[in-house]
Amino acid sequence: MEANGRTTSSDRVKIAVVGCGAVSELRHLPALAAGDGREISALVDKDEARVRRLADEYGAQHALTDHRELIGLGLDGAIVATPTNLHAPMTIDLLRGGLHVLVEKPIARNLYECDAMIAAAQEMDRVLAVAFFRRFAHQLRLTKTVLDAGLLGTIRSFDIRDGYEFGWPVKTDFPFRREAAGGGVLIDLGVHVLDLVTWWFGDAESFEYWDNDRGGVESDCLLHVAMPGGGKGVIEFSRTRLLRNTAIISGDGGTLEVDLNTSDFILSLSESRTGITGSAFSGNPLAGTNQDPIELFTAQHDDWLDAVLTGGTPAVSATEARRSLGLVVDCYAHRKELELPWIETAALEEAVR
Amino acid sequence: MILEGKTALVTGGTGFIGGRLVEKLVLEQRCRVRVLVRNFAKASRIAAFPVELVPGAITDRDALESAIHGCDLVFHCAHDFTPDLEGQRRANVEATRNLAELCLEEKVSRLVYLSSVATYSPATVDELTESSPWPASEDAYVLVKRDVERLLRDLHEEKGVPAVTLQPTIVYGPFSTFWTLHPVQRLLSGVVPLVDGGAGICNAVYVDDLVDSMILAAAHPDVTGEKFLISAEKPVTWKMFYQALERAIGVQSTVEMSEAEIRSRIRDRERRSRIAYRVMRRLRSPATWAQLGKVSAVKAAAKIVPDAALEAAAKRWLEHDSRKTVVVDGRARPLALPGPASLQAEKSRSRARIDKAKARLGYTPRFDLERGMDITRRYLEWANVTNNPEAPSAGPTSLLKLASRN
Repeated sequence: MEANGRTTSSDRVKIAVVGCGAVSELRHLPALAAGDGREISALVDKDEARVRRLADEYGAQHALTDHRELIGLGLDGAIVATPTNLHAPMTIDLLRGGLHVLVEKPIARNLYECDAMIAAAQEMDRVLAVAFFRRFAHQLRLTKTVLDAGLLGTIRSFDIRDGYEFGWPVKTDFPFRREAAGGGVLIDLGVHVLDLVTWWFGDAESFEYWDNDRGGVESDCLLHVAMPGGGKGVIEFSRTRLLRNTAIISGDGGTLEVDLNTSDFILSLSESRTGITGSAFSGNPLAGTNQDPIELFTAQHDDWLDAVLTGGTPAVSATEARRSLGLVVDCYAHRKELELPWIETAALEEAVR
Repeated sequence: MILEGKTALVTGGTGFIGGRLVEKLVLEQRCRVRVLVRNFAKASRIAAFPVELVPGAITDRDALESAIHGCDLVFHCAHDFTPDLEGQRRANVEATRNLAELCLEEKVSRLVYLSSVATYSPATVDELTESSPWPASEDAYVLVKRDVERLLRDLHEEKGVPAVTLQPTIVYGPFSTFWTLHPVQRLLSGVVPLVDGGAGICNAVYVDDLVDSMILAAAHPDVTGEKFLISAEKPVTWKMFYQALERAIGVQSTVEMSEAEIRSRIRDRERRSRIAYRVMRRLRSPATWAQLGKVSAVKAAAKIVPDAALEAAAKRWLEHDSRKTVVVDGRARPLALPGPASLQAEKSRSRARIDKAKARLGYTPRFDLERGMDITRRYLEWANVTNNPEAPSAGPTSLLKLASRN
C-alpha cells in the first residue's frame, strides 16, 4: 500500500457506509476501494448476513445493524445509501454524532426533512454533500463551461429525455412505495437531471407537470419549464422506455447536444457555421474520455472528502440539492394526469359507468 | 364492473398481458389487486397503480400462500421459462398444482389460467377449435402448457378446482415483446422475409380483447373446467399483420421469400455462429495464447487488442455474409431472419374459431387489426420505438443519434 504512494492506515479518512443495497455494493464500495487516502471502516445494514459478507469482502472492521453504533468509533464520515425515508433521521443522527455525511440522492422525500438535515449540518459544522454523480461527468461539466462562457448566446430552448426500462437490481420494493421513496421516476431518476438543469440554467420560473401516477408511484412523466431569461425546456423521464438520453440546448449563438451517460458531445455555432463533434474530457486529454460509473463515484467521494479536509463546499451541498428537490416537490403538488396512448379514456369512462 | 370489490391475485403481473390485466382490474373493475413479483426491476409499470406487490416466484409455495391469502380470484399468467423441458415442466406443473390447492383452501371463486393456442401446435387443421387435436411436438413450451392444462382439467374433475383455461392466439399491442416489439426491432434493423409471401393465417388478437375475456372468465358463473380459444373476430394474413406494423413505425422492410430459402439461410447463420463461437473460445483460451505468445508480434498485439475488439471483429465477420443480406432497390440490406417460433407461426393455415367463447363467455372482440394497430402505433411512438421523426418522445432532431446511426 505505502509503496503505491498511499498514506498509512492511521492517516486515512475513516468512512462508514450505511445501507448495503445495490448502490453501495455496485458503486460506493468499489469506488471507495479504488480511491486514495480512505478506509472503509464500518458497514451498516439491517440484513446481518449481507453486512457481514460485504464487510469481509472490503475488510471493514465493523459490521453493524444500527447506524447509531457508528458514533464513538472515531470515524470521519459516513455515506448514507438507504431507502429515502431513512435519509433524514439517519443523516441527522450521524451529523449530531460528529460525522460528515454524503447522502444519496434524493436528499429527502420533502423540504421539511431536507431543511432539518441542513440545520443539523450547520449546527454541528459538518459537511453534508448529496450524491449527484453526474456533476463529475466530463461532458456535463463541459456543458456548464460552454453555457457559462456564453457560446450559445441567450438560451431559447432545451429538450432533455432520460429514460430506460428500469433494470436497477433493487434489493427491496422501496422505489415503488411512495412513503419510502417519496415518489417515482421524477424524484429517483429525474432529480439527477433537475440538478443539472438548476446548475446549468438556474431555478425554473414556472412549470407544468404531468405523470402517470394512478395511486402508486409514477413510472413516466413530462415537465415543461420556463427559465429565467425566457428559455423554455421540455424534460421527460421514464422507467419503462428507452428514451433519447441526451440534452439538446439551443440558443441564439448555436446548439449543443450532450449525451447524459457517455462523453459524446456536439457543438454547432450559428454565426461561424463551425462546431465540434467528439468526446469530452477533464484534466489530461490523453487519459481517455470514457468514465465508468465507479470512476464517477470515486470523483464524487474525492469532492466530498476534499470539502471535509479543506473546510470547503462540496459540488452539491444540501443547500444546493434543496433547489432540485424543491422543483420535484412543486411538480408533485401541481401534477396533471399524463395520458397514456393505450388507456382509452372514453372506453374507461364507459366501462366504469 | 363485473368484478367490483373483489380481491384478485395476478401472477405474471409484471409481464405484457398481466400488466394490462392489472391496469384494467384497477381502472375499469375497481378491484383490489395483488401481484406476485419475482423481479422488482420489472414492476415499474404496475407500480403506478395502488397494487400490493408481494415478493416471490410462482415456484415458491410460501410466497404463493401469503399472496393468495384473502383473495377471491386468481389470474395465473406467469410461465417459468426454465430452458430444459424437465425443469420447465416441474416448475410450472408444481407451481400450478400449489396454486390450485391454495385456491381450494382459500375458497377462491375462480382460477383463470392463461394458456396458449400453442398447445395445438403444429396445427394442420383449417379450422381450429377447442376440440382440435394436439399433434406430436418437441417444443418445451407447447408440452408444458399442455401438461398444465391437463393438470387443471383433472383437478377440476377430482377436487372441484374452479379453473378456467384461456388459449389466446397471437397477442399484440403495447408492451408485447414477442408479437410487437420484437418484430418491430426486426423491421427497424433490416429486411424481414415473409414466409411464402406472408400468405399464412395470422390469428392476431389485440391485448385488450384478451384481457376482457379473462375478466369475463373470472365472473361467469358456469364455465369452470372449460377452455376457450381467444382471438379477434376474424384472422388476417401475416402479410397484413407485418404491413400494419410497417405503417405503424414508418418503414418498408418486408420481402417475400420461400420457406426453404429462409430455412437455408437460418442454417447458414447457425453454422457461422458456431464457427465464430469456436474461434472466440480458442482465442479466449490461455493455452492458445501460450502457443501464440511465442511469436513476439502476437505477444505485443495481444496486449493492445481488448476482448471487446475481438468480439466486434467476430460480429463484423458474421454480419458481412452475403447470405445475411438481401438486395432491395439496388442496395444490400441486412436480413432480419425469424426465430423458430415465428417461422412456425407464419406458416399457419389454421383459422382460430372463437364461437365457444362468444356463446359461453359472452366474449365480443372490440378490436380489428386496424383499431388495435392504431393504438399500438401510438404506443410505439410514445415508447420511442419508431422511425417516425415526428413522434412526440423524439423531441428535436438529435445529431448524436444520427451520427451514431451512420
